[in-house]
Amino acid sequence: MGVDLIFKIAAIGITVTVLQQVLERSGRQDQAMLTTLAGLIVVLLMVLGEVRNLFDTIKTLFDL
Amino acid sequence: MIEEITGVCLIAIIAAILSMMLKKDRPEFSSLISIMAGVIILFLVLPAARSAAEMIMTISEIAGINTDYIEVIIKSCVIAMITSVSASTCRDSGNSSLAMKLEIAGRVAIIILAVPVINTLFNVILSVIK
Repeated sequence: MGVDLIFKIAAIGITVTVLQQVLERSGRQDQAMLTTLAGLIVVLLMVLGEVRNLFDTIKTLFDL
Repeated sequence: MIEEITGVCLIAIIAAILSMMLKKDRPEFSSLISIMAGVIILFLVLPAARSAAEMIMTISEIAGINTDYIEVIIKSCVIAMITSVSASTCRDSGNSSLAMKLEIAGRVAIIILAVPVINTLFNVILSVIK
């Protein structure tokens, strides 16, 4: 748990951007769109797991 | 908390710069970076918040106040914190109507939490009137 998760998300974002541009230049619009979607889902799963972890910790800490 | 405050500041600055970098091409990744930074900062702050709440409980115990009421206050603070964090995330993503509904949900939860305290207050008032 630290700042490396932020760097991971930024790296995935940059990779997805580059891949999307390369695929759009070579005329594969559908694959570019799927790449964007896959990157977004991967990052969303990471973030949602951490958010759930945080809310569970708050619940147990303050016995809500 | 004193040692962690520098880390919190650094995480906030790094996340702000990274999300600024991705804002033009990938706005959704930019808001996910800020959500992640918020989660990490709250994780770092949480133990200190817990010890502050415990300190308030011990002080009220010494002062002879019923700790049930203090517990209700602390729990409503936590609910307000969670809902306002989520609502400001929604507002950052440009969905302010959802943020407002989330704030309404938080208020309802706090009112439901405070029902026993309000009931005892009304009972005291009724006994005074009679």
